[in-house]
Amino acid sequence: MSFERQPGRLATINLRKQLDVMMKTSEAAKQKPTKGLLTPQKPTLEKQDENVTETQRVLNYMEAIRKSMTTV
Amino acid sequence: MAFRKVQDFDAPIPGMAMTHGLGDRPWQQPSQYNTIEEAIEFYIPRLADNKFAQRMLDIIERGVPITSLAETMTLGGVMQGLHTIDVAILLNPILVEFMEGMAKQAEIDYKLGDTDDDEKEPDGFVLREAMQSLQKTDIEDIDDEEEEEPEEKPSGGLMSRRGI
Repeated sequence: MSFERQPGRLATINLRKQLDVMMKTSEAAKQKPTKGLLTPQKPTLEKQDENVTETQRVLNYMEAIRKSMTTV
Repeated sequence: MAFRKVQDFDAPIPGMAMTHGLGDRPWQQPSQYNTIEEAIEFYIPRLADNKFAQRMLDIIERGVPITSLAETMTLGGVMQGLHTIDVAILLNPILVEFMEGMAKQAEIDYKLGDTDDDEKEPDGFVLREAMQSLQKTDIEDIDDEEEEEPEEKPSGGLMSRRGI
């Protein structure tokens, strides 16, 4: 791999690792839903939309693509 | 050293950057797609296109790493002035994810290019041939679109130009 192509490849490698972790944690969170009276009703993603970083947005798109491609 | 792997004769000639005026090159103009969302809307329908997808899957099956393919595409986008390098880098993981999904659905063997085993430089000839075939698909698509355009009706006004 030549030096000028490293940033894109590194971004892919790092974000994929992060996505794997993110998907595992989200699955774990789904398994234990809290049902108390004081639990927030709105999903957390909607709350974070305004302050979300670009990397997080990319991760969200990657997650959506991965989920949709595996379910088809 | 890794960066000496670039062939010397392929490198630009010193001073080549000054052979054109500032702003003449597409990448020196404001980019067409400024956000990731806009760039995704440009790339994903193209990748999902039947003709393009078939060629792309052929190339992936030949052993070209998906990361290399995505980088070549986004680099081309930067050179055409479609988006900035920042957007290209953010776009790479998304395109890789999409292409991997397509390869999985087509049930073909693929290299992702994210492990040390895949890190070897893909065969330059294969990569060049692959990109040429993808570009051909684009050109063919454009040709088809041009053929579909209806012929302009000749204007019959007094001041209209007649054939020379």
